[in-house]
Amino acid sequence: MSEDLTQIFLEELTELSEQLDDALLALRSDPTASDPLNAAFRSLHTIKGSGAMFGFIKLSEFVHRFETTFDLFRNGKAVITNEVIEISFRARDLISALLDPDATTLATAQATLEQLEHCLVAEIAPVPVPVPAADGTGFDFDLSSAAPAEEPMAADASSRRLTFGLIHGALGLGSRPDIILKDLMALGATGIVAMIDDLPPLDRMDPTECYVRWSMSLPPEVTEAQIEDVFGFHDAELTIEPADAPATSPVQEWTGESVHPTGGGFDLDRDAIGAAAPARTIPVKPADETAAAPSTPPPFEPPTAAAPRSAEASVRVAAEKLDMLMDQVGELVIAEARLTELAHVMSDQSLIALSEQITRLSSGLRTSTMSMRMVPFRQIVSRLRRLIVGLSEQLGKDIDFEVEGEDTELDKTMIEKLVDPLVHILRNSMDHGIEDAATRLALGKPATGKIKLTAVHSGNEVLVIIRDDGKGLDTNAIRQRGIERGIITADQSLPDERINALIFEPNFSTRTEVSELSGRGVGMDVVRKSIDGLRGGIEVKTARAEGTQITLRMPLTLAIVEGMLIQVGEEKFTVPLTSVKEIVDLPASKATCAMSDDFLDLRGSFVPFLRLRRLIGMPVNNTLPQVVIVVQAGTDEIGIVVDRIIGKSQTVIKQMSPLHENVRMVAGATILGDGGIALILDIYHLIELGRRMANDTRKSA
Amino acid sequence: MSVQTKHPPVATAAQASQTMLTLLMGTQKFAISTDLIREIIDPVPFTRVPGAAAMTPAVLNVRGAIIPLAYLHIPLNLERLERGDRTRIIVVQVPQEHGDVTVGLYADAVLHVGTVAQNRVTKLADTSHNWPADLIAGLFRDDGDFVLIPDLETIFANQRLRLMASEA
Repeated sequence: MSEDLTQIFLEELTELSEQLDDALLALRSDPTASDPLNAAFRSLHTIKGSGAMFGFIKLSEFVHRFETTFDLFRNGKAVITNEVIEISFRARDLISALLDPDATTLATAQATLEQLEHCLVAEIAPVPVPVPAADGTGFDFDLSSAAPAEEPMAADASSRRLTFGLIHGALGLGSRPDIILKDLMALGATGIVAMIDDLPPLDRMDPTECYVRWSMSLPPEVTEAQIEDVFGFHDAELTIEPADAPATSPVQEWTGESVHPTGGGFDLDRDAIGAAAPARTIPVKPADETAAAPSTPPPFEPPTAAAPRSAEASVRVAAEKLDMLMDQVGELVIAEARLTELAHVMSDQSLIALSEQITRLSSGLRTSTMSMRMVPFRQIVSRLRRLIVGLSEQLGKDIDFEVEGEDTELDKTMIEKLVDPLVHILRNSMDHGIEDAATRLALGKPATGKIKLTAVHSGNEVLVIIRDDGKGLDTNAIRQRGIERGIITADQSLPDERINALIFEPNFSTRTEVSELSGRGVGMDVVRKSIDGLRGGIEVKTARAEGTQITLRMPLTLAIVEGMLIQVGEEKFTVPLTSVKEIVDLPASKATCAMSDDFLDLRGSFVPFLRLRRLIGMPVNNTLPQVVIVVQAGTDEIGIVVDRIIGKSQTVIKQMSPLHENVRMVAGATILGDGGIALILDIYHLIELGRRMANDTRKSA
Repeated sequence: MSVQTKHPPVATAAQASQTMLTLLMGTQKFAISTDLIREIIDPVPFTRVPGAAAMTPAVLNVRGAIIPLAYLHIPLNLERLERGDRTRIIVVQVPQEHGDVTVGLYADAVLHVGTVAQNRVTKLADTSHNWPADLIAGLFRDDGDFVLIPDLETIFANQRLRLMASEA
């Protein structure tokens, strides 16, 4: 199997494992819920199928047994307990290890499965428990367990007739009709009839083709999804119809595919696998379903969390290719800007019209490219949920972890890079923020702590808010510590927000004892670094005994930013527009360079300012009128004095070479319409400089 | 004996020669393996990077890519000539520990491309030279002049180490 396909499988495995996590977490809170149970079963089934297909036999065997137990839950033959969930989590963690297992892993896997199966025995002693043979061939479902279960919703439904055939050289691709039939029998299929009308003479037979079709009755409670699962990796054509429409039609159904009003559908989502097993045609479409439906009550297959997502056709593309596309779109935006400029210089009407059209097209292309890179926040939520569950056990603190805005979309690269900072923040909340149950009760709070994670769009930004109802930050202690560490001075009066923001300074911990989880003073400064690196900002709000709220403000994308182009002398720079707060003229009284009073009085608040000319080693020119751009990051503001503002521009960010990594003032570069380069100023660094300057001034004063 | 580069480009012991571009920096001739060279362009406008090291004081736009301009004149103590008709930018891609760096080398003139037999290349003696021996991979004679082969990998690796040290 080629590297590429294996890679796709591994990616899919990660996703499926996360879906499994989600499902297990949901079951943990409500063991009787059927949606997550079905979702867990589906994830396991797919892992088993593709695992086997890609040659991860041990994994496949393991997951098969795992899945078998879940099948029992699904059929109501066993009950999910906390113990089951706990063991399932452990089993889930073994999945990736089983890709390339050593003896220990295999032993652990075996032990875990036995524990899981033991749980079942303990639960439902009277029912015979199928313990699959460990011989690796697997698939020996205990058929008795698959007997129709008494699901209330299926009570008055009639049975249906399923007909299927394998197409597209399925045998050549490794499909095993015997396995499919076994699986179908496990679902309760009865009256299986083989149809051999299409069997060609021996000399025209292609050994890779399957010429036999089968027809059978399925009990009414078998859902379409279950049937699809059976055919997950086989090229099959199937029809389902009410049993009362007798089996006269199947043959006709088969001879003409065009008979089906809905034709064949490609499920592109699975086409990652489809690369190996092309085009899976399942003409089981609403038309057939409604034919079967009249006697079937509406909750045929209650929608699961995963269902709406997989319903839309999608194509899996390597992130690298998207990056490449984004780069090229970036180039196009630059070329388009040059064209526009040129068109205006030449003032040729037809050229201007053309350039305007190109501008529209390229901006459309940019928007769609950017949207392709966007993924829902949900992608990382299950990881965070597991973290909380783990910490909650470790710390013995009960937590109600609520997530809002799972559908909020962020740039793919960004979302991955948000995981670590979020882990740090959540860990801190759990360890330092949330009090233990006794303390909470004494304070009149509910014993269960609450952490809420919200992701929401706000203009050109995404806000990720982490809010806990713990004890809040001790602003006085932080202030004390800040003075000890020499970051602030004792006589400095700062707003609380500024003081609270000190927790993001390196090696800053007010905690005297170090816990296993946090308190070593590393972490929060890493959070700030990562967020800064993503051109985001952090805000902290806290109230004693009520809780802390940390807000991460992130740009929507990393690749393109709206910039304000400024000029100093002959040199041009760009400032991200999102950080620009206001623009004011430099008062004449401040035009001359003085060491001590480089502060602006903006409606009563003092804002330090830096002269860009001086920063970049250019003589300060007092005769030109100067403009101050006030930029903001978090609660900090600083003014930057420049000669002139040129305007707004779409900025495709290019990274600086490693040979310029020491230049802290510059966060990147961008190419202008005329082919020139403007450096992008690093706002955070400038603010840092301003802060240092303010401190120096204070010391010398 | 072979040229002392850490990743001998194409030339191995079996291949007794390699193709080199001979160029002028200051008044000294240098040769760079064509395996490292991406293109040679006429000077484009430089954009100064405030606070950058003297060796890489600016960036260039080379068809949509932003790359640093590098003066080997600084580490090699060369005289810097006025920009003239013969000035060129040699875009080279140099292997480094954490991935290649692409740099535009400032050359005062480009002379010619030729094949240099390995047996003509000798190692620079550690003593009695104006040249920092660790930055020169070897030298050979051409038209009666000495031609030096700069060890670009080491030059840029050293530069990055220096940057890291200055940052700390």
